[in-house]
Amino acid sequence: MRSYRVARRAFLRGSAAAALLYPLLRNLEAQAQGAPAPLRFLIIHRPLGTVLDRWRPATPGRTFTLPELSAPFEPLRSSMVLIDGLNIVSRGPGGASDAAGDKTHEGGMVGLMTGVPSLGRIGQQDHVAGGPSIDQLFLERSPLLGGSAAAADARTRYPSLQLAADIRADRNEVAPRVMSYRPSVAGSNLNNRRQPLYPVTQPLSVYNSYFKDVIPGGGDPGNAAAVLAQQKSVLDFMRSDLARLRTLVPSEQTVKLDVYADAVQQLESSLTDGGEPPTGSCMQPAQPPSFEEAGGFDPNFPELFPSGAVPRGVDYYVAADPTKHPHQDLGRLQLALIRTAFACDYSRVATFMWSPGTNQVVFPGAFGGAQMIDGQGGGVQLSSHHPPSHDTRPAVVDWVAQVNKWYASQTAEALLEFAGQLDVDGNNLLDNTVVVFVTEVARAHDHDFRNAPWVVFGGANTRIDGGQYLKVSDGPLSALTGGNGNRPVNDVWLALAPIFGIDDLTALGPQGTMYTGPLPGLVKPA
Amino acid sequence: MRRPFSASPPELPQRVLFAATFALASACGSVDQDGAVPGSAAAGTAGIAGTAGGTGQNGGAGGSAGASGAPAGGLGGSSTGGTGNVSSGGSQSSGCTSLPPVSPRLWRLSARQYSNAVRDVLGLAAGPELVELGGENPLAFIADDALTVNYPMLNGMYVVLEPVLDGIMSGIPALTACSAGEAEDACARRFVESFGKKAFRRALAAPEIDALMVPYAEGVKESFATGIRLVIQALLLSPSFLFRTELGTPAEPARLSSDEVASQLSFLLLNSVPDAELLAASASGGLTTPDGIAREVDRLLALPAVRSNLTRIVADWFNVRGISEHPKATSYFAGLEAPAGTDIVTAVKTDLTASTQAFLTDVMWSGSGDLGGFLTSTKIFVNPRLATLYGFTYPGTGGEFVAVDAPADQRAGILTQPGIIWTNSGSQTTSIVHRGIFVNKDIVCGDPIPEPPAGLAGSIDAVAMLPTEMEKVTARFSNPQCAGCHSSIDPYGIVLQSLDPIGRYQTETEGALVVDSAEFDVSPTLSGTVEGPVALAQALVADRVFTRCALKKVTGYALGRALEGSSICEIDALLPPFEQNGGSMAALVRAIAVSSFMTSRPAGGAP
Repeated sequence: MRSYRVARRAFLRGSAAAALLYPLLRNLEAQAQGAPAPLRFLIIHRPLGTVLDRWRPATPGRTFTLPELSAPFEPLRSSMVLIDGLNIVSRGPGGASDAAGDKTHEGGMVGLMTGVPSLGRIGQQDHVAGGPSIDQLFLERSPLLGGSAAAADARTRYPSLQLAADIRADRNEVAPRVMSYRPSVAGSNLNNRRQPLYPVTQPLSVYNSYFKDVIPGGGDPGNAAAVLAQQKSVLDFMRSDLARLRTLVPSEQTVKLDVYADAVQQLESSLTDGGEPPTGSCMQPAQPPSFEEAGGFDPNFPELFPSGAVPRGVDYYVAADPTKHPHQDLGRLQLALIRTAFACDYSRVATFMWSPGTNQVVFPGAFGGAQMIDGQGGGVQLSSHHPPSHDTRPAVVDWVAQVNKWYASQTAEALLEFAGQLDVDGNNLLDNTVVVFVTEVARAHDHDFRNAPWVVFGGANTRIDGGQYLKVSDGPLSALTGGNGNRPVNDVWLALAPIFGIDDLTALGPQGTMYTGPLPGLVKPA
Repeated sequence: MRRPFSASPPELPQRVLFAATFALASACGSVDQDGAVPGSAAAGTAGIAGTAGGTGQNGGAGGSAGASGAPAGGLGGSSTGGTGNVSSGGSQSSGCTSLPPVSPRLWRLSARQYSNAVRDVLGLAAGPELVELGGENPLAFIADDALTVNYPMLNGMYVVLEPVLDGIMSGIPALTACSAGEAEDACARRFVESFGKKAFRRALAAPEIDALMVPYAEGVKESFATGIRLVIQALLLSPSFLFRTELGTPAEPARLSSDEVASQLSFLLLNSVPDAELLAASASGGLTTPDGIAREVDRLLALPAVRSNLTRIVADWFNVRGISEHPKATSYFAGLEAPAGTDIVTAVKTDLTASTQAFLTDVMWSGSGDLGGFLTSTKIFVNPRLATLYGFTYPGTGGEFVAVDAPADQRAGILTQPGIIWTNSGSQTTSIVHRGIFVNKDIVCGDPIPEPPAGLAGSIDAVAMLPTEMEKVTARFSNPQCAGCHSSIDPYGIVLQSLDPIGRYQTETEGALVVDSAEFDVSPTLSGTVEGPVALAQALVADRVFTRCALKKVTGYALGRALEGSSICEIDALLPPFEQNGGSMAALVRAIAVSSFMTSRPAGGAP
């Protein structure tokens, strides 16, 4: 019996499929014609803000010195705009601020990613996204990011990626563990109205979903056309069943079928698109290991733990082997997979979450030169990141800050790999990528939203005016938002939109509270 | 050895202080009550609050909670009383609120249901395990009915099905059972009809059968088995397999169809597709009446697979899987040797998961099965390692888990199960707040406690820096804005202070004698001073507070909705049949399964 466990597109090799357009070939053709490489857009979230005065430089401008907590970004300095004076804004329906989760991790996530008022709140802090997230908004409206606004032959195989290193949070809520959303839908049930694009936390799943299809070998070239026809007939039946259900369900429920249909389309793309072995800048990634959540599986309890590999996250510190750091390994693998998806032009848009704000990831008690202490002041062996973040004793603050710094450091190292990645135009990948490094609260202990420590990265072709510390200070900038001298973070999104050919995005949420206008100084004129 | 909690100022009588601060008089929490008249409880509370010095604590607390936004549907009635009192939130004149209607919907199978369903339609020993769950939280108690199938999940199913399909190829002659002399195509069509009905939980329409013959036709070019394989693949990746439909019929759109009732019963009780008897009952019209449904429920409740699944539901309700999530300092395990291949903390977590599961199984399926046993049983299941750790003499001979009877003045039921306490404590602290939230949420089904208002950040910082749990609780109670909510949770946590962060009994903690008594005014018997977990458990059972919570939890599970509101009319109505049938888990599930709210799907309700 012939096995079907074949490398996806391998079975197309040697067939007439060579007539298909490959993203990679498209890139190579573009390069031959002297055209630029595509632009990409990546948002990276890390939890719990920072300690401001150990993060922001003393003097704005281009001759700044990065203090301890932002120092890991020094090697990226020329491509970086470190911004101070941004206010994360979260609003509920009708503009009420408190009910919207102002100054909560969960409300902050929804506010910063969607930029519009939420539809309301479920349970304790599950704020319901009132619109698409910024990455999806850009994807839908930009002619350059490979989404539906792009020309038909310029769309990427996978419109966008949503990846995370950890999604464990204080409660079983959607808001803290999701960055990306499709547009919300009408309806009477809040939970059914928002349209979260849930992140994938298992690198092996990312690999299987987006890269496995380019593994060379394993198929039977002689039978490729027949196998493809068989699989297409399966997909056709799935589509006919979707069409049948569509006639039966209430209109509020059809969005579930839309997402399913998109999934069928992407599955088909993975089976039929491309087929060339990777070359040049698009390198096949190695198959990642499978990560297992600590204690997430126990064969003694098959009913309770049916699966061996459903990680919501893994810890940095493993008591059984303190030399291992699974959280770091998993996060870096995810960022490397995004880098590869960008380099291969499978996607141009991605979001990545290190962990939700109520970060459960366990770190060692002795970390980065700091020592976590218990209530009596004694040293502790281990701690997760979020619970002590409300404690303002200096030793605890320092420990929390060291974990924050670690996230900056890991992100910097990953972005340096972007900078070391050859792109199809001969530049490096960071030259063609805008990266926004965000967080959902500015200051952990009281969830203050002001002076959010965000950084925007982007190299030569992005128009990001790198190499500066941009301080949103007194004067014309702050006059728009009154007292605190901050501008809403939406002003960053409005400033970035034109880079991607989106010239008509001039508002996000209510004017004055959620946006004032594009942040000056961030982006160089076209 | 214990002394009662004495909060500052020391000259204030302890009883009065706690009555003032914890009488469920804030807008922050309310609990199911058994026949209590809301006004009377509130009046008593207000009087005591006045005794405490008329500080306006309750009013202030109510105001702060309101400003922070009480959850929708939770506490609608809270603003009506001058003192901000709530004893049964959202009260209407009848004293209860109606269950929010569920309107027609698609409800995606959970990952576990998918695995079980593939197993059962194909007759496998075990189903494939998904890695990508399309947003499902694998630890969630209630399956989110907003979920759908995204690309990573669909791809994951595609990938895990490949070896499953490889594995059944040799069994396809048995699966299809073609008759001697039967044409292959005719046999294939017969298989499509019969297997399709199992997979989609309803008879297929003619166009669907025709559509499935297309992949068959593609495959049969290679071989008959390949054609059948493609039919199975198509069915098991399709939305009618992945979604439970609750759409009714054109003739009766506001009520689940008979086939949909069969699926509802099977996914509730078996966590999988309907068995042959259920499909037959549906086909014969046997599921159109409560009596007919009850017959099938009674049949199913006798099956070991159903009992195992109900135990699993209760384990998820109490978050038994959460044990593995909670780190503990290794200092608790000094002297215990780690087994080969793992560390001691992981080994103990595994032991505790088994111990807690054995406890639940014992309460549910040994003896009378009375749900009160969840709160009153003194059994703790230990292996040698747990016996050493928790100070019991191991009564067994091998390594197996054996029940010991813990001292009845120290332990009672789930509130004192080491695994449960482990999950609801810090890594090195008892965490009064977390334990209190657990009791409020999962034992008494109180209303959700909102996050502290943003304006309280400074106070929270100050409290977080205090060195001991009791100093923290005293500080919270002395700040009216904190006390407003914490008075609904902290007293439960105080009563559990006699258990350390890993669930060992303790008489001293943080350098002082344990304080484990607090003042309550929750229900007729949960009132006055309650000292220790045993007294708390007895009070919760006597007033059926826990029983009502159990009915609400399992109803919410069955409907796919986290239910809020203290007194829900439809759930109150389940109490008599539940008790008449013996007060067991089986009686509880039976009472829910035959209720009309299970099968009613009015258009225009919340989907």
